Amino acid sequence: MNPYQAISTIMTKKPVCVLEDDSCQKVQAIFSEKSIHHIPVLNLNDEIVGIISREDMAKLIQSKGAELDSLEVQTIMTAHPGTLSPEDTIGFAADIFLVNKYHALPIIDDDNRLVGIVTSHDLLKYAFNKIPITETDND
Amino acid sequence: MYNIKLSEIMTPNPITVRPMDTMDGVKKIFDTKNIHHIIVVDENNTVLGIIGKENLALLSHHMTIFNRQKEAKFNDYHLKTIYAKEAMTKHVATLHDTDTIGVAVGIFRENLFHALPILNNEQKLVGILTTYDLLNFAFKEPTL
Repeated sequence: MNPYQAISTIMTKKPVCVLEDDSCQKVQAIFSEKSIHHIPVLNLNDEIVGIISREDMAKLIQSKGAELDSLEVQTIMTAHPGTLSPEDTIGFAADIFLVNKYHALPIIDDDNRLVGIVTSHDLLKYAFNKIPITETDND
Repeated sequence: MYNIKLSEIMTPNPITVRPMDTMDGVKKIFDTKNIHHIIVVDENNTVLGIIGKENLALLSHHMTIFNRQKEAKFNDYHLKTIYAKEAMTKHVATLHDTDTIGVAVGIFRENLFHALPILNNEQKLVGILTTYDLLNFAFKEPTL
């Protein structure tokens, strides 16, 4: 393991993202379809403006479809999320995750444009890459 | 390093609640402690379930996001009427303090878990293991 390796080597490139004026119904559909927990939110200039998590969406669980359709992502997203640069090291990213207890961080270039996302599980996979995944009967 | 036992890296004596504790108390714990999961145990320290922040969010009024006093009051009242046993995730996967890091990482990766209760050989709760405990172990030397 090399903690000085660039985070860009383990990030997920071109992650699923939404626009700030997209509806929360679209976000809910993405979470239903994909096994992801966080979605970066962009403005029309492709700049990162927020992040939305399953926990954020759980707060809307009692909302009806029409309400979700009329509610924009920017209303419930976490604005100004912490970010990393592609050149930041994996060790630096681990420190940021541990200090702030983040689960996911967007990776942005110098123009504030999204280039990837890294999660605590990406770091886990990198740190313990020689361990095979194990299935469990419990849930 | 994969053979190190979980007792060496887990967080011992985690915060717990009882099944008949109400969710307003759980919310207070989440509001004051920087944790994401609380384990529900009975009087013998046997694990009954786990409550994540997402479980709590599912109980909130759907207008809570607008930070209005009306919904805050509703949540205060509503959460006092719900027991931890009603909100928790049941049938939780567990690990033992004698299991190795290798076993734990395999299970975390397969299931995308963020936290698991750790039991002793008498099947009683002795700790909690989170992704942060594993990352803390792997990245011992800070690079900041």
